Amino acid sequence: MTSRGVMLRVGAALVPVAVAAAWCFGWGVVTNLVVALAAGMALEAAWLWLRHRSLAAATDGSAPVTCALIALAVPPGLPVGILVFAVAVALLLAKHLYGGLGRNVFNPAMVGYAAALVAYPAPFGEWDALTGATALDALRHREGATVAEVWQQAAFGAIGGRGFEIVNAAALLGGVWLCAVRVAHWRCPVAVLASLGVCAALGYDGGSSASLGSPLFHWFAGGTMLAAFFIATDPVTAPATPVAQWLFGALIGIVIYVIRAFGAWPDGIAFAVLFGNLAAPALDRLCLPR
Amino acid sequence: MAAPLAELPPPAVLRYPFAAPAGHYRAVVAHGASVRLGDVIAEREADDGARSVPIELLHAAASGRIEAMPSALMLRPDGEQRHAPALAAPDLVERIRDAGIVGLGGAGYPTHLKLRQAIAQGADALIVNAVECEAGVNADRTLLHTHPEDVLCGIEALAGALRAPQVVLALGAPLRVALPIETRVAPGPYPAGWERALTRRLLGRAVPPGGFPTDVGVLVLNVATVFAIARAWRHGEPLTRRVVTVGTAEHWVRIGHPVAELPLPAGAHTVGGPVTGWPAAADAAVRKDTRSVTPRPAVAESPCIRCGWCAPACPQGLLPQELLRGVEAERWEQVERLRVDECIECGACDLACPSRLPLLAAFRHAKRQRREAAQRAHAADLARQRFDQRNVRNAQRRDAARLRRDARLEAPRAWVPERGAQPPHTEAGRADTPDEPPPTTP
Repeated sequence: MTSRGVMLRVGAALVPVAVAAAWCFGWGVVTNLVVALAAGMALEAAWLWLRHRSLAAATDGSAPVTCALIALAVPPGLPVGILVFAVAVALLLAKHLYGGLGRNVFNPAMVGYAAALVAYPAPFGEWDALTGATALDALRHREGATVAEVWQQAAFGAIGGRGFEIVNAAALLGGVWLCAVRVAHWRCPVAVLASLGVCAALGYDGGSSASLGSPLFHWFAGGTMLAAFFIATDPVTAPATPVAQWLFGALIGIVIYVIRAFGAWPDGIAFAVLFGNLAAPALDRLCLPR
Repeated sequence: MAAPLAELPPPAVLRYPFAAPAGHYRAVVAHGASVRLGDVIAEREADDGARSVPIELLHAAASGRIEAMPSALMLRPDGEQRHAPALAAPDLVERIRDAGIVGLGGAGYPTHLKLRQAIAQGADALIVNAVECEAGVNADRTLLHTHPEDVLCGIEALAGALRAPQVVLALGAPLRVALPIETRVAPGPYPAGWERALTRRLLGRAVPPGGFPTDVGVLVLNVATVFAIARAWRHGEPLTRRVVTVGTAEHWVRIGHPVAELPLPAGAHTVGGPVTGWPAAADAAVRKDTRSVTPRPAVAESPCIRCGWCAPACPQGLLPQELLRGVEAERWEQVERLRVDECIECGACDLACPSRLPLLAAFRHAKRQRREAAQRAHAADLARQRFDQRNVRNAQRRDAARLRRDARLEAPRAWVPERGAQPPHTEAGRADTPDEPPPTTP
């Protein structure tokens, strides 16, 4: 298998996620994907051309994967300008300025997502016209209601966020396949889900007004599965040694929960992953065989 | 028995480079000398120069005329069939030494030294290694199919020297011919034919790190080496040709056959295994340890995405992706900490890499760098020692000279002149003169 084959398989595993997202959230997902991919490929080619590099490097498949992850992580129908901004930050700032594929410290998709989130917070607060706020937001801003009462709102589905649970299930499906064909390390996603689950279980008291949602809810809300299987498994920005991978995934799971429970952002995925990326070299150094 | 292997016709000129993987060859024949097939033309000396005895002999692979060049011996075959007399040493170890046999699996270590070591350490097991090291190289297997009786003869001779050991023929896949000895198919992934892995998997004996199979009483010899031993023992033939995988087919090829004149498509070639081999230089020739010569395919590298597939592929448990980063950044301490010296150069990481990165080449480069740095440091140490010793010597000489001069200068003052008497120091002073140290330059 070649590097391009790896990227192709990641792309293939994202297809069910995209279909599920489009099914649940409408055409906004499709426009996101089209805009992000077109802008991403154009920016990648322009960068290589300006640096007098071979355009063949644009076909390694890493840029489309980054763009697709951004398109699926941001709210459907995000204004084109903001989306292009996110893609530009991801590819140019987070990847190429660090030396290109394989040399970036932070996951480019998450850098792009975080930059857009910080620069333009308004569109990220309202997920879309259909559901209004996300289930994670609803749980946070519930003003004393119990979990069961909050659950009556439109944002919730059977086990997680409405729509999100289906997208997360699709991501779980694609992610398990990625691990099965050995494209993704299985340790990182397992560690992310396990630590998030443990944190959620510790903060869950059965559904009182102070409770913060069950492990099942957290697994199937927001971008949990996408982060666990498609972003935490980015080999470039994850540690290389097995023990460090466990720690890295656990760290991400904890930070996701902390941000969801106590933070101000709609979801903690991007910052949790970036925090993990920051710690990855140190974890590797810690766990290197001597 | 399979059809006999074809022997490539002799080239216009055979070439024997002086540079060897370890040490170098020194010609023992002069320019213009006429040699017979099997005459000794060069000797290899150990790298450290500590041995006075050459560790390997090199024999002419055809009768012809010698041309000595600065970097290589050339042998121009004259088309005649003049043979050197058959080898006659009665002792197997000596016969192997006289035949110039080295490990033909690729190591190139003199076999007589290995056998002597095994006998000295009382080895009680012999593994004949016919597990091809790499896919695409079939030299060992072909030899076993075409010349089983010679291999058996070699095994008999070795078993006699080792005093009835357990003999195992290690195979990569089951044989088509039946042999009256124990055969075992080596399990496990590439590099299954690596002798440490064989010793552990076939006999359950773990070779200590940094040690050799002989340390646990096992002698591992490649099947081609065993064949060469049989030819030397039974027919008195020195090693002048070997089975080489040329492209996709096996041939008998004379040692010294220029790579450029092998029946291969034009272009870049790899000598010694498609994965673990080296890019062939324009003037490369088949050596004793050349298992294969194959066309080098053009590969499109892409950046390392740190997928980590190389790590589980490494039989030594190294982290090739981290090593590569260290080598690229020339952070040699990091490279050392990641145990680059334990790399056995099997190329399993190259096979696993989805970016087609030349990991093995990078690690060889790193090892060479470290070796050279160590040699430089050693040379610098020696130079410093010599310099220090010279300073001490000079200081001693200066002190001695000063003492003598002082003695001379004080002598007249102590001497009270008497009229008509000769000053006694004059002769003594003259007598001193030859002992004066040479003037030391500052």
